[in-house]
Amino acid sequence: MKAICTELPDKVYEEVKLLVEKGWFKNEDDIVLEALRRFLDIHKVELMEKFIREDVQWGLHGKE
Amino acid sequence: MAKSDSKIVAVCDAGPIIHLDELNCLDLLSNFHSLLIPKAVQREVEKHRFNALQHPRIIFKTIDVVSHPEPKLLVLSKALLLDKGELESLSLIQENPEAIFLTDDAAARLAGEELGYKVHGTIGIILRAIRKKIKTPKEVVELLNEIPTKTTLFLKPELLQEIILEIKE
Repeated sequence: MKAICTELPDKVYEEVKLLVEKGWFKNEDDIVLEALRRFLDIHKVELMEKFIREDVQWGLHGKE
Repeated sequence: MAKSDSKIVAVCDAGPIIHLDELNCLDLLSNFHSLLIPKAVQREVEKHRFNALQHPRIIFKTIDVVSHPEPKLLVLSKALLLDKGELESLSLIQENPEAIFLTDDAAARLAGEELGYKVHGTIGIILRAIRKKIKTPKEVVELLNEIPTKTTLFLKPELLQEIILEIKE
């Protein structure tokens, strides 16, 4: 299975690596997955609001 | 389905079908060329709004999604905890990349946009009715005002008022 490719700042990557080395996570992928889950838990309402604003623009002024 | 001059195909997740049906305005979907739903979405809609898919003028084409999701979709699906209906909808849109994906789920929308598809939700469909001259701005405002009491779509009251104000302007 392919993964999403992204660039991490060195400092962030070092911290990710350390968490794996210390045994807190099985591998780096699991950390990214967990981080994404947490991000979405926190930002879901903000995301919905952003999406609704985009919908308003598309609904009223879209090209299709 | 009512005759449409639109060439746009829409792949529907359960949310917009349920919410538009709750508002008794599923006919706003009649302006699409065709409406595709995967079987998992059909089951979900029938569970919540049994008659929604029996609308006399709206024909939903139910598709048995057999293709395997692309690897990137599988990763996103896992990361964003997508349910079966959302995953099947996104698999279906991979086969119809020109279609728009209709969903009210933030995670599914995020995945769809990440994959490069056009994604919109119930609010967009309702407001589009003004642009397509299916409804007047006044009728759309009336529909929007019914959202908090008639539907299961969550919308912050301040945001709803902001949208109504934008229509009136």
